[in-house]
Amino acid sequence: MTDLCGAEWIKLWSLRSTPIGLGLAVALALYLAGSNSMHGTLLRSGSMGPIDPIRAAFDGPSWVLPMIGTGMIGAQSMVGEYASGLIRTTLIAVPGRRRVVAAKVLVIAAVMAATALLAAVGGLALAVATANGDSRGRSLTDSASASASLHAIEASVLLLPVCALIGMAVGTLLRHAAATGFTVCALLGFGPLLLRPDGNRWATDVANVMPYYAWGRLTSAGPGAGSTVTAGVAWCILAAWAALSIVITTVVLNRRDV
Amino acid sequence: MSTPTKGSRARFSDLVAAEWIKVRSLRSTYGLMVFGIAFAAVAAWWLGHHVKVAPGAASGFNPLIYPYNQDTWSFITVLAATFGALAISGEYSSGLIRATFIAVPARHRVILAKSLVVATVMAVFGALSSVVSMYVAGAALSGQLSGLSLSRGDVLRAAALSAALPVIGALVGMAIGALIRHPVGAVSTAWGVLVLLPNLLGSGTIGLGKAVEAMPISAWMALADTSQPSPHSNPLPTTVFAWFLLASWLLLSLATTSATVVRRDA
Repeated sequence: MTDLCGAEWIKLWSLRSTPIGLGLAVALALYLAGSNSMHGTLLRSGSMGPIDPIRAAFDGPSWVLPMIGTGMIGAQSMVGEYASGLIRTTLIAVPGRRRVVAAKVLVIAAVMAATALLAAVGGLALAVATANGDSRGRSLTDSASASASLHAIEASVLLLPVCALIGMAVGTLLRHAAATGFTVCALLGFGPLLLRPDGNRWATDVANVMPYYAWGRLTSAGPGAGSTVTAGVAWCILAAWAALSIVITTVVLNRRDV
Repeated sequence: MSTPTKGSRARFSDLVAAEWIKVRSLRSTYGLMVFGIAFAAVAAWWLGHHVKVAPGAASGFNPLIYPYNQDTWSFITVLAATFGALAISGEYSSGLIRATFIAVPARHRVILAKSLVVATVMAVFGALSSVVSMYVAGAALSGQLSGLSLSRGDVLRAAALSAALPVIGALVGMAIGALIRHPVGAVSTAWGVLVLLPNLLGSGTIGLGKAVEAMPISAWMALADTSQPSPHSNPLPTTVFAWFLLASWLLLSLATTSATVVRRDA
């Protein structure tokens, strides 16, 4: 198994797009956390108001691009193998296909979790450092805020691996680069724009099970913060996306000809 | 030894025919168009179906925002951009671009023919989506709001602009495909540039409303009068500037595609 993980690690990092994508995702999250914290947010009245560091670091729209980026890297890890034909060599070398998927999932999830940790902790630190006025440093001293920041960091560390696994499942199902890219963007990026948890019953229910809003519920900062879903259910939603994606990837890869 | 015969140079109509065969022979062309039209129809029905207008209040509603909804047409535009991006990046990833340029060394003519075919296909797609969307929304709104018919000037204008929006989207997608040449990279960039980035910039946390104002979808909203009533909507460009924006997106995309493909190694 360590050999399989080693092989997947080499495959992941031999692509130029991996460090570029992850680097951009972290840079964007850090930049936006600082920028949101310094400039505040546009209030309903149209003026710019001061903003809580947690809200600045875990602002929903700022995390959509990192979500898409990790989803794409996850998707590329399957689609790229099909496109180059490497999948055949891999499966000849290791006929136990489930073990290949397990190794891939482990490597991708670990890398994405590390990326998310960097983006979340760095973003929060930057947001605290650049906050103006009375909100400066509040989230690290006050115990309620400290636990809220911890929850937000945990939720984000779960969010990016989930997005990558969703990408992997979509990539395994479609196997075509452009179709996969389009579907991942539509699912992770456009879905939350199209269906918001403030519409009618049906739209609200669908929106609540999206990773974006489940994560927003857990960070208690982004959109979905005021949702009727409890924190436990939101954790379960994210876990269910991960589990479902792993099952789809395993079953489809196991069943289908390569 | 064969001597070149007079008139052996490929005529422009031959290039257009070749590009048409390329578009026609891909299954994804049909899938994408059917999906887009179905999406427009379902969205129009969904948006129109939930409208309840109090008696006598109909004059306060703009019926155009149901068939020509901002989110629906952003999606249609991105779908078109995906089509455009694939038209270029697909040739690079399959290697067909080399055969094409060996057959026709004048690359800008190939790009012109390709743009013409892609634009025509997308115009047909846009017109179908636009008309289907309007009639479905009209049916869903019956009894609540009326006026969705092509005989009205403002509706015809919105329908025509909505049919043209996918053309611009596809040409932008072609430029992105020429710059990035990798299908996944090109498709995610198209999404990013046309939908996700404007949304991020317009969400107010960065305060770059000016950048959102320059997007094709903003120009479309300004010209077709399809902006949603909202407590803090982004400012829209003026009519003249909106026409200028649409024209610049179109011409700049064409110029980018042509310049990149001509300059770079195939």
